[in-house]
Amino acid sequence: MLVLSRKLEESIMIGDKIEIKVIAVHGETVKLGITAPRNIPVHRKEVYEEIEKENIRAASSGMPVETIDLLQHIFKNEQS
Amino acid sequence: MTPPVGVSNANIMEDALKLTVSHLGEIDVAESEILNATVPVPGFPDSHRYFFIERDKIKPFKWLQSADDPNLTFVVVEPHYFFHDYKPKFGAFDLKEIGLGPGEKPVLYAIVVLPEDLTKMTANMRGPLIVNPAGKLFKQVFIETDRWSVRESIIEGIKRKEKAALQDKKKGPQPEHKNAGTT
Repeated sequence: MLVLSRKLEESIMIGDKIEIKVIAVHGETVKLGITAPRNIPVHRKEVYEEIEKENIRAASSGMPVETIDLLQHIFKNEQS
Repeated sequence: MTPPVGVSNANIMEDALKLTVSHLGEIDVAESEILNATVPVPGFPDSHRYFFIERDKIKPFKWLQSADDPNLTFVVVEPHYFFHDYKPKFGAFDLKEIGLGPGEKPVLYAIVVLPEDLTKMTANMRGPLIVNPAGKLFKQVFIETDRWSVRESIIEGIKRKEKAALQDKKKGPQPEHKNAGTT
């Protein structure tokens, strides 16, 4: 991992289109400004990881036969 | 040079795919029902093609089945069934990626987890799927707001929806028709 030190208002460039700038530092929180082309998705890592984790949980939970029976019972009224 | 007749015919005829789904066995899927993920669903980098399986018995839910992995099945639902107040905004780039213009609306799906205790069923409202059925494309997008979580309670959503429907009724010009109760 490349490690760079930056001061307030200083930035780094990734390639010639992505800029990450230090906007503010308050205690343990660093506020970053990110300029990137619209086709580059920018996400907080936790959000991506949270969604990935939930996808894996969803894919492994399935839908057992008992659940299907229960669903039919619950949603019977809405389908008529 | 014109292509040999046999070849073009073969392309036209080759429509149904025989696919294995672990919980249903072998099923026929029309080529035209296959949706392509423009980026893989996070957590499943090797699946690119999916299709919906609809069955009366699981309505309003559907299965979103990977055509590349018989063991990969999501339970999904269109959020409006349970969440009347879900109005996420999508970036023009995400829409363009699935072949839609800025004014066009994708079909939304939320991935659902149905635990044994169905009162605890949740929908991932933070990472909805946006689908362009005509273009056969979809992707999972991330909503950058804390308003919706990856485990939004479906029961709570239904309660809010019913409450809102009741309030609309009260406001509305038509008087409420009460069912005659028997005692």
